[in-house]
Amino acid sequence: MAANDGILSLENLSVSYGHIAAVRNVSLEARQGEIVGLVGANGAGKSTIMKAALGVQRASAGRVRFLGQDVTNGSTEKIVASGLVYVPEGGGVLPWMTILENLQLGALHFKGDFAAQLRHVFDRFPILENRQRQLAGTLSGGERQMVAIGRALMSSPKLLMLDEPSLGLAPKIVAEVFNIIGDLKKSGYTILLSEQNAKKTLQSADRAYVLQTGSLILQGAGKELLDNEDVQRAYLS
Amino acid sequence: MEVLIAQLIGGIKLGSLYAVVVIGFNLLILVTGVMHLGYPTLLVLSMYLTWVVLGATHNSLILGIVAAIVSGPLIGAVTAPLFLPLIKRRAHLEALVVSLAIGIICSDIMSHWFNLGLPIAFPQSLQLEGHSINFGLTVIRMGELVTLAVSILIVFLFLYFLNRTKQGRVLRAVAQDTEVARILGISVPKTAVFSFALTGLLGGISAILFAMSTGAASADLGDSLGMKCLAILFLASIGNLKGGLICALGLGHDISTGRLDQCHRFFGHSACSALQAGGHIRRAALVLRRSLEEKRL
Repeated sequence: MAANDGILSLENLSVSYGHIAAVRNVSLEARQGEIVGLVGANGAGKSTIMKAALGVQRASAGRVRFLGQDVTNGSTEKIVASGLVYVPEGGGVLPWMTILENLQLGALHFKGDFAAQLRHVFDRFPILENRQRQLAGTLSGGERQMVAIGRALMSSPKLLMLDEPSLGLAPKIVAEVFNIIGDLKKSGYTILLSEQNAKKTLQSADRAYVLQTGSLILQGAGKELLDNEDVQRAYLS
Repeated sequence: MEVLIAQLIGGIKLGSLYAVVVIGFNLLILVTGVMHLGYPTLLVLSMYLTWVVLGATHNSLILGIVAAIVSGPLIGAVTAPLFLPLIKRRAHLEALVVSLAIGIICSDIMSHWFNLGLPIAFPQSLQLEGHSINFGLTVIRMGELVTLAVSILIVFLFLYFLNRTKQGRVLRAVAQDTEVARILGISVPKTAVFSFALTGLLGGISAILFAMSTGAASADLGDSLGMKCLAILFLASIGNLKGGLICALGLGHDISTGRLDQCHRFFGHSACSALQAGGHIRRAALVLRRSLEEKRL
């Protein structure tokens, strides 16, 4: 797939929880090798958009296309198997399973060399190799985030959706997480990054979308949005 | 001394039989949230189907065993769709009622359509009569030893399956967090059906082991078995795999040594099962304190 090819595109996507419209008419695109930021306050609809793309949340209108295929309201199992991977808020590690077992679950749909893929993840996160038999529930917040990202990488994803990876983490660990995200981009991964930490996200992202109460209000290059007065007033002051 | 050894073997055999049944209960609770009160009766139905196959095949042991092992997962997989919509809605109370209904219907079928409602008896060849080990003055039947060995093997195989295989990890993931499991690309409905089939397989294996051990069955055997298993479940903490195993072995030991009979005289059958299981859980707590708090696969 060449650069500038859209891997994921959402066309006029709307999602409702009962009568409450959580996402209204949102269109966005993630292209090969990009970091695309989704910025917005709590309740803006960032997680809902990601879950709708994955098929976990039902879209009430609009289309989701992944690798050119219409996957709107499709089977989550098939969407994950095709290479769209989601790291939920908080990481979503299974606490009563070991680090290794969590990573093994990430490779559920991986058809390649499991040992090589595991080696690749351990090379990126050496601390996980040292403690692979440790229960994931005993890890710190930052370590859990590493397990969650490592687990996502086990399937060699085409697109990685990271939902607020810095939530609840100490500033030093937040910096580490964003360094990891930067390294992933350099390795060629395509990332859709949702964050309340607007500054860090816009600094890292190639392009970004700003959401407010379920609607898209701004979009553009990350660096441009950093300089945008409205964004500065709402999210950076 | 020989009596003690015979009681010990009998106790572990019985306890490990209950353990296999309780594993099935816990598996379903942990993966689907369904407490399947009809499960012991479905186990007895497998026994009845085995009896039918034995009768039709001139007591072919192999075909009888195959009938038990195949009927279990088949019954599980066929009844699973009744529960799936309820599992999706997390309607656990409705699922409980449906499981009760399944048990009552099956019990009714067995008491009206099989052997004119009379208890059924299994051929002595199934219990390996004629093969025994003399231990001093005590005679231990080969059927008891086979039941003991197979039950223990099943428990170890199940634990190996849960902890060392891909499908076992999938079951554990769904048991821990359905939402995360789904996000990982696990089909929760397929896993639920699989867990019903696996529970049915455990039930089918238990059916043949109970048939070998007791030599007979009746339509209401499921009630008695269910009460003992529920006592183990509740007092070991529902969903506690290790605690359930310990309690099951303890209950088997008490039944085997006659301690339960002493209790029955004063307190009645079901209450005694609960009391004895409770006694063992307190002892188990001192040794494996953490296990009682764990509710996981």
